Amino acid sequence: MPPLPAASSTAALLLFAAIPRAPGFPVHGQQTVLPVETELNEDALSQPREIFKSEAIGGAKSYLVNLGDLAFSSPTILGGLAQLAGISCSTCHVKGASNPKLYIPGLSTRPGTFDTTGGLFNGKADNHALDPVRIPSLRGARYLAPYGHDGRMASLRDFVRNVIVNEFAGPEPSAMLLDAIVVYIQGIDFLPNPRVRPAGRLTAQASAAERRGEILFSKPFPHDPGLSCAGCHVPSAAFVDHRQHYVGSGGLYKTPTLLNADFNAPYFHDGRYDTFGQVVAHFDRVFALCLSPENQRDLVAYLTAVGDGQRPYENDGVAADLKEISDFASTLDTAILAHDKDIIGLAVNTVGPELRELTEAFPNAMDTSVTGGQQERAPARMALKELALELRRVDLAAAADRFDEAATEYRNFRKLMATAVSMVLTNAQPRSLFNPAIHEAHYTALRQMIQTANRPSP
Amino acid sequence: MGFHAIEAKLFGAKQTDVQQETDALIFHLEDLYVKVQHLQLLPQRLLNGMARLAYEIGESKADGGESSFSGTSLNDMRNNVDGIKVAYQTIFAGAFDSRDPKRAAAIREKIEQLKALVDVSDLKKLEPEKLRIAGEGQIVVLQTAAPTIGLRSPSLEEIVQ
Repeated sequence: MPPLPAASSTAALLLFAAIPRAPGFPVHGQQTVLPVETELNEDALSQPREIFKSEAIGGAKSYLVNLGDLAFSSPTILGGLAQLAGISCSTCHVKGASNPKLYIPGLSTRPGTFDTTGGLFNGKADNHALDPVRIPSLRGARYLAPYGHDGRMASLRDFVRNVIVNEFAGPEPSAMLLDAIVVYIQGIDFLPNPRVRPAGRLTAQASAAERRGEILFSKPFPHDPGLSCAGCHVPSAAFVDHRQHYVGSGGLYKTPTLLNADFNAPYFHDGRYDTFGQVVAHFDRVFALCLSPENQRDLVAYLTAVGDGQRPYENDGVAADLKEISDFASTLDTAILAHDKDIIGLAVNTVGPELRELTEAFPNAMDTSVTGGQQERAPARMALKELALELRRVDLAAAADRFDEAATEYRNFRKLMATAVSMVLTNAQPRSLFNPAIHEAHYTALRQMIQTANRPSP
Repeated sequence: MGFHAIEAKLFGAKQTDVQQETDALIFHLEDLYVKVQHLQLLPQRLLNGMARLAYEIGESKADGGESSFSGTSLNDMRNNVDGIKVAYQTIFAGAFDSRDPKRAAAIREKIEQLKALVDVSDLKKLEPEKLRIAGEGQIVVLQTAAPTIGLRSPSLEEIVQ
């Protein structure tokens, strides 16, 4: 997020306020790394909720999960343009979910889609066709093999490596890093859905429409009695069958899960549909199901019940961001002990930019769109910058093989995080861009700047 | 207000009706000119300024930087590095050379490293990670070196008491 000095700054990378129907904040201006009008929705005020199996059962994320999450969130594992643009895996798969607002001109045909075989990030992968796929959520990925919309890869490890090396021109990841990313992805759980019993059946609290929809879901197709919705979307198996099918969408595509699907729009491999209603109408058309309007509504009610999840989003804020930073930095506990300079470098050069990004949530005195609050925000900015420098000291010491010194600097980092940083940031939060009113004022001013720049010449 | 409002109209909208904004900018610049005649440039504040510029250089410029409409962000960065160099050579070099030659050499090396990293033809040719590492490395050296010339570790923010 950019400062807005008295001279008015230009657009930040991108953002999209979480306020419903708020306009996006795409890239604008000259010499931008990504195409003008790119929208990455990086400054949304709420984020998808990410839950891990280990935490859900009272445990904690392992070192490997934290390392995998760190790498997943690091532009440094990708190559060339992606790294320059600050793109990481988590840009598309925000908190392990999807990004329905992502749009890159030349690579997207609608928000939430991305052409993995476009030439922007890796010329060698360019198939010279605009054929974007929708960005899938990774929740429950361990149950959803094979991988890729067309199910081309049985192994998640192979799939992840292909994304890094072939789609984003990244360097060959180390075996440990690849393992860690896979362990992280496999740890991301579905959101719990109390409307569905463990066998995938609706609970006793289901509405009449949902129950009628559930019956229709299992009913054989009139012209293809060997087929039914439940035949592929098997309720007792996470609503998948691990196979690819032709469903009239232009090829063989794997059966996607319906769990938490309420939050996974757009739908179909190319994201052509925004609603369950459109999806149901498609199947009615292609398979001549002869569904009445009430049938279609009942199916939508059922899909909505199955696709639900508890607390799908969480507000972004100081606590959430500091927890993520703390989890990422925790990899240094092991890496410094192991004298692993590569992982130390990865941690420092991933967490550092995150700290800088968090600093921008506390606008400086030059931002004229924000009145007052400088007495609270300045200490917050200083604390975050000191944290970034503390990490730099860790990296410098490790690079010079002074690992005892690196450990000392890391302990200083931890102490700062636990005491001063948490306190000053929490104190400054009401005066930060995490406050919806301040967020809106800041980005309204920037949007006005963009509008001024885009005004047609007389 | 200010330069960026003018650049949005001139370079974004390609319009020249910026008289009002230009008059306001000139007024403020003339006011600034008067004020700086009586300004005391304290060494501590100059050291703070050097550190802040070094930190600023490490910020991402993927969105075109501070002056994305006029496309002059790279010039801004080069000016920042030049500012660090001029401040160091003019005010601090003598003191560091005599009291801490090793750190003096480290500071000079970091400045030359920053100069080389911004000596590219296009903003997109910058290496942001190297810039950030070099900028932060510079600040770490300054923070360690400051007490040897009787100054406090440079502060990266202006905290109003």
